[in-house]
Amino acid sequence: MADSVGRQSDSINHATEEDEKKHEIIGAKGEGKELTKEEKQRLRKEKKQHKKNKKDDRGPPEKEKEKEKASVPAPSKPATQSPAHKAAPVPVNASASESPVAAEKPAKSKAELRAERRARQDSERASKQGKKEGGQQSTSSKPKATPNELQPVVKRLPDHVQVDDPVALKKLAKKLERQQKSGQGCSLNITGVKVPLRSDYGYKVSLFSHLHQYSRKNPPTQQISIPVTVIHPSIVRLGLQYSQGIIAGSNARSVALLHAFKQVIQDYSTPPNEELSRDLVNKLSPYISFLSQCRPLSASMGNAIKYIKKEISNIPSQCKEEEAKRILQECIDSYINEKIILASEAISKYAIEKISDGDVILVYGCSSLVNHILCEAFEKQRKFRVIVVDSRPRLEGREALRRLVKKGIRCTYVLISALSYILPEVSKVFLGAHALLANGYVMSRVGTSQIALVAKAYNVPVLVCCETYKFCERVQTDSFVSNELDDPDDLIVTRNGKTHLENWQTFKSLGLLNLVYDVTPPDFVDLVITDLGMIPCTSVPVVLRVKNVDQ
Amino acid sequence: MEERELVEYFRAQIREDPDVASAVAAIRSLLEFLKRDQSETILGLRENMTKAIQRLEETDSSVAVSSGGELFLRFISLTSLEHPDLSQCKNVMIERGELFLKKISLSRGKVGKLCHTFIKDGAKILTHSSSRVVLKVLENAAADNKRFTVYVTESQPDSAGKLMAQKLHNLNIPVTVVLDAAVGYIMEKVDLVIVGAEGVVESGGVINKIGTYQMAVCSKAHNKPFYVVAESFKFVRLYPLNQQDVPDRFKYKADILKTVKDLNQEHPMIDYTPPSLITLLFTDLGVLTPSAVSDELIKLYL
Repeated sequence: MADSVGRQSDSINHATEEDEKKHEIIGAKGEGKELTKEEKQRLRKEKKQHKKNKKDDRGPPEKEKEKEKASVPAPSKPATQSPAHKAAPVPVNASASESPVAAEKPAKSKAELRAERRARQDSERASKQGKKEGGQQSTSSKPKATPNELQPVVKRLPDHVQVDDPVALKKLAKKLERQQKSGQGCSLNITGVKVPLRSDYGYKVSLFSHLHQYSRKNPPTQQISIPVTVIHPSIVRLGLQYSQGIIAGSNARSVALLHAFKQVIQDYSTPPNEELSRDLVNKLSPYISFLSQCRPLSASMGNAIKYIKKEISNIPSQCKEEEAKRILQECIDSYINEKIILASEAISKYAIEKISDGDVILVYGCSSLVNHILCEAFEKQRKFRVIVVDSRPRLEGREALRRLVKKGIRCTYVLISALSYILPEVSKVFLGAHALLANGYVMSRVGTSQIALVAKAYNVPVLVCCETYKFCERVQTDSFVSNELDDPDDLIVTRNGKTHLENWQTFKSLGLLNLVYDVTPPDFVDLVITDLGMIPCTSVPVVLRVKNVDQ
Repeated sequence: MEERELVEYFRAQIREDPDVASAVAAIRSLLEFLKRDQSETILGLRENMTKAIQRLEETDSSVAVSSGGELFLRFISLTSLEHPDLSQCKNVMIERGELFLKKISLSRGKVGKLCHTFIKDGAKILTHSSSRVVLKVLENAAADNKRFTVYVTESQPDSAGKLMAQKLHNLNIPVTVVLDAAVGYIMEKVDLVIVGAEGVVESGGVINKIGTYQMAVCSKAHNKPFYVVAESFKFVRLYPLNQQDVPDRFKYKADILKTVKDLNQEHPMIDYTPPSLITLLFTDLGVLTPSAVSDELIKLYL
């Protein structure tokens, strides 16, 4: 009851805001185009929600509230003047999930402060004028603001990562629901389908309880009824491939994502009264939420998505749909070509200078870039041999071994437990990276920091190879804050007919931890080879700065 | 201008002004080469310049000549050479060349001014071999009426340290020559270590006369600050991972490279000091930490 009243007050608030906005828009037509576009978008969304709520219950309280809310131009005006996605805390905040945490933090706290202010002023006015609805109203408008208030103003992690906080989880579920609905528009009225919220599996070790832990046996696509789904089938397929581990590896995932987006853009048709540049971005948001439910997005995927969204929103409005689609397809193709394919060529060129005859090179796991470098060096007649280090449960080293042996390179295969035994023989260590953080830390497959540490102790140079599109603005000094937990059942192994950990769930005090990434400090890394050249690990922020200037 | 003439000019420059940095002499020669060059196209001009730089590198196998030459080439070609007439383009390039030369001639003075404030009254300084920049720094400090003593290593095989001691003696600075092997022994007595550099590499490390790396390791073990003074034209786009990774053309003299078959029997003239052992670098761009060198290099080259 209170909830519906709350929504009413919400909608009425927006109704009067709408009128104010209309006046604003007419007045501000001379001002920057951006402002009016944002206003129009918000206006449309508000209208839809308003119509839906109006259908539910209309009554006299509404009219009365309209009168009193009409005298609330002042606080809403400065609020609505600011950029759209900051001003409205409760309505759709679609791009929250994959935007970087740092950018979210100030936005959310500003929005919270504004919501607080507005709520306070509303409740004051309400209590002043009508004491009959006063009690209900103020309490209903206050709960809207207080959940935001209660959460600390400085948020450290986005919602979808705070798994141990039930309030955050509920918010996430609602957001996923809303994303699907708002993306559809008010024409269809299907309620059964929503972006599924995947549930966690098994006991989580307490240090990592803020992360999700999914089981491969419960794919996220089970809850979706395919004919009615709003999610494009190629995205569903991609999500499934991610969650089952069929597509793995940073570059592979990004390329697959971009290809799926190409398909989406191809099949997209602009609905009437909508602009491609804005509607397509909104369409992509539920897809991205779905994909992050299947498997958390990697830094490279995040950067690719940012790029696509920027390109889409830069499409001029007078562009015809076919033309716009062609432009976008070309953009995606050139991104893949420049940032991934050509970058790996450039990196191989630099890396081959560092490989001399008689070298013994150590590699860990399966990095597409490092394999490419070694194959190129072998083709250029460099004499070297490779030691492949592998670790459970993924055993990715076997794939790398297969590729190198096929080329004809002399390889040795060890498990990571034999690392200190094999290192005195090694002359160089080549590592791949999943992402390079802004403070110079290298985020890579779990086990990488161990290799870097032991190599440092033996004075063996460590070289990290990473394309610049994997550089991200995040800062992290440990592997706990932001990581990924893989399926714990992967750690169960059958030896000599006995499977010891089969019933691990029955032991309350037993937890299986299957980490995916870890973070290596820059003191252990001697050199980073990127497509811009060879840089020390401490120069990553310089590259980010140069890149931002370019864009 | 023929290569022989170029080398003669270069050698003449060094003879006339023994105090000049070899890179500055090289750049003067390159400027002269540019003025006398007779190629018809800009591409031809660039090719000739590159060849000239290579020739000079062979004469004086120091990292500084190589880095100075490359920077010179970049500096003069960084302008818009859109003039239809080649001679006009050449004039623009020559102008920029003169500008560059003037800038770097002043750099040693700038470094000296920056560094001498780090020498306190009563300090004991250790330095290695003979460096003109370190001499300038000590000159400035002495002119500031500071009292300090200097220990110089002998620096075999060419005994350059004795030359340095002579020059310091002429400035009335108390100086002692120590054996190269006595660096560990003397380290507990000194307050700070100042060395020059032949080249500053991308990682923030330096390439200098053989024996510098030892000194750096000792000073790290004794927790003494290790300062490097270098002009900015010595920044070079190399990234050695260890001693072996430094290219042979810098380690040995050019004539040895040509005549000797087995380099394992030869003694290298330089070594590489990694950035982790260096406290600060004093350059004409300012006082930098080793990690800032890469930043400056990116600005200079990209």
